[in-house]
Amino acid sequence: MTRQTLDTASLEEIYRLLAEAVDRVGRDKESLFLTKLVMILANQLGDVEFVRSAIREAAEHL
Amino acid sequence: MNRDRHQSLYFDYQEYGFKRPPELDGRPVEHAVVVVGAGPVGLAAALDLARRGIAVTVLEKDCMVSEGSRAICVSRRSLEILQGLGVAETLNAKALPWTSGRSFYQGREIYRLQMSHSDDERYFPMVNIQQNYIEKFLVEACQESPRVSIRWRSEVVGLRQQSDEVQLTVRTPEGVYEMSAAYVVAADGARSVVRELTGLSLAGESYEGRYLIADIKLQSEYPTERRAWFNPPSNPGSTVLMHKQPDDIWRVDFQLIGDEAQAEELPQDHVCRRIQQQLDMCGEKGAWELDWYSIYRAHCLCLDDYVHGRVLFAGDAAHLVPIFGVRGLNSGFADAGNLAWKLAYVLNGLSQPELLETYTQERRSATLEIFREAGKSTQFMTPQTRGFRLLRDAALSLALSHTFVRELVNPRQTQPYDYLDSALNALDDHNAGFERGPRAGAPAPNLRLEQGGFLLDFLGAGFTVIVFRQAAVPGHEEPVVKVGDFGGETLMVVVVSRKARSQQGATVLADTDGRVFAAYGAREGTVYLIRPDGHVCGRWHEADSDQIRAAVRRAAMIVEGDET
Repeated sequence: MTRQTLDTASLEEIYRLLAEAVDRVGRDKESLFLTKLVMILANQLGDVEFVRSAIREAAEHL
Repeated sequence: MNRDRHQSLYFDYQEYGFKRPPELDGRPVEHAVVVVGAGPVGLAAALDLARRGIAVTVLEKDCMVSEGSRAICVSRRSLEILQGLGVAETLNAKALPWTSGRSFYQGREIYRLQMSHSDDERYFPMVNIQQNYIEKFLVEACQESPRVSIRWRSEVVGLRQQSDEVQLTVRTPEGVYEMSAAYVVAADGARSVVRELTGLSLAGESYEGRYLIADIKLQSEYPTERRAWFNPPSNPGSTVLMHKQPDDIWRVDFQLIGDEAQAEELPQDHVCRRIQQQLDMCGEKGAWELDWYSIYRAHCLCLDDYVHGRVLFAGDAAHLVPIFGVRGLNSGFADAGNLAWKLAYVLNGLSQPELLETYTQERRSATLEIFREAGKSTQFMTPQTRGFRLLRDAALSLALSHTFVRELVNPRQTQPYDYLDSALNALDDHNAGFERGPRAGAPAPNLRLEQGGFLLDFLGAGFTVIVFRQAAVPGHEEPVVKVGDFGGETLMVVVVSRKARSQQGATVLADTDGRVFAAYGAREGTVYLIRPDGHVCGRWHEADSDQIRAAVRRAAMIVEGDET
């Protein structure tokens, strides 16, 4: 469970930015793009334990 | 359509007869307003004009109310508009009220919709009722009105605009005739003939979204609420919605994808199979019967201008909006409420004709807001690209265990639109200085009153000034406003008082516990000016009669020199 840090407008903005970026990079490069994005965000976060639990949570309900 | 509408499982379709109009016998009649289309929006506009003293003739090419349940969700704001037309009570007695909804993904609830509601409200945030009932109640109200006449089986086939009137050519079973009207309200639906005859077309985006909407008769104990399933086994890769309606009728909406979305028609046995799969999935075991189904296409289209000379477009004739959030009919009722008082004021010689231009300004802004909101819903419900589909699926999956994505799953039901940028709003009011209460342009909220009844019941049909007082002061002695006439229209004054006893000669509403004061962010001397359609057009912490009169002159675009 992660705490809420974003208001609805920001969340919607990020939703749209990500969707448009996925459409831009194209299907072949989509996974590479998303993985790079996670690594950039993880580096900025600087918390290995949090990243470890986020990886576990993101793998649920696939 | 596979089922003749006379055979509906719940609705007795009555045939309305053609009556020979005088024009067919060479006796021309002067018509103030002709409404084209006896759908819910046209009939609401006709009734609203009629109660403001305008005679209205409605032309309808059919001889019955529309087929099937169609628009089934009526919002609180729409009920307030219908109350003014004397139809809300009848409609409410038949309709099923609801406040909540659930969204499901992978067999689990991921979102609980809860619309705000309390004992202070007169109406539920939403009620469900079939459109054929809505139209029937409106037709009955028109039949009772001495100022409305409906001409059934009368199809508009020609239209010519003159500087001072509109001429219509009407085709009937007994021949073709010409009629003229000072103004025409085009409420003839998505495939508006009037729109075509005036050479106008809708502009915007046309989503590829297509839906199968079906009504079944089924006895079920499940309560009235909105249910949505994402990627359910009954519609893999797509969505399903269910709504309960009166008479044990259930609406099932399937978003169509793949081959189904390409089909022009879907065979009835195919539709029944799809419905059975959905009922199996949600555990409904009872016997059921198909009543009606239709294929619906989602659009984001509207006219650039809702007023074309002496023709005013309303409802689907003016704009087509997506299905999600139930904004189609509800925005049509708001159109009717907005245009009726303006047209009546112009026809009564009180207002300048330019007032009609604000109909486009206010209602087209509302449509564009709908496109933004419903567009987001549509993008979530029916993502058009891989990127948006991926994000949607990620949000649904996260919603099973994370609350932070909750608002992304919110179905965004219709909200009343606030005319914040309206040219009719007061220039010098203290709008920004209020901490609570409806902003200038917003509809005035209704509230239960201590003495019984509700606040909006006490507002006038024209402009109303609400004055908030700590002690009772009779309206006619109010120093703030001398009750004035504007070209024959009386400005009504309502005093909300913390220490009120009802008094002779004024409408004084008691508010000893201060609930109305609080809801309006009021203090001693606060003044709200309410338009004939129930929207606030100005609010002041203190105001004198000159300010109020200037605000009314602005909001009604009063013809110069007509104030008495």
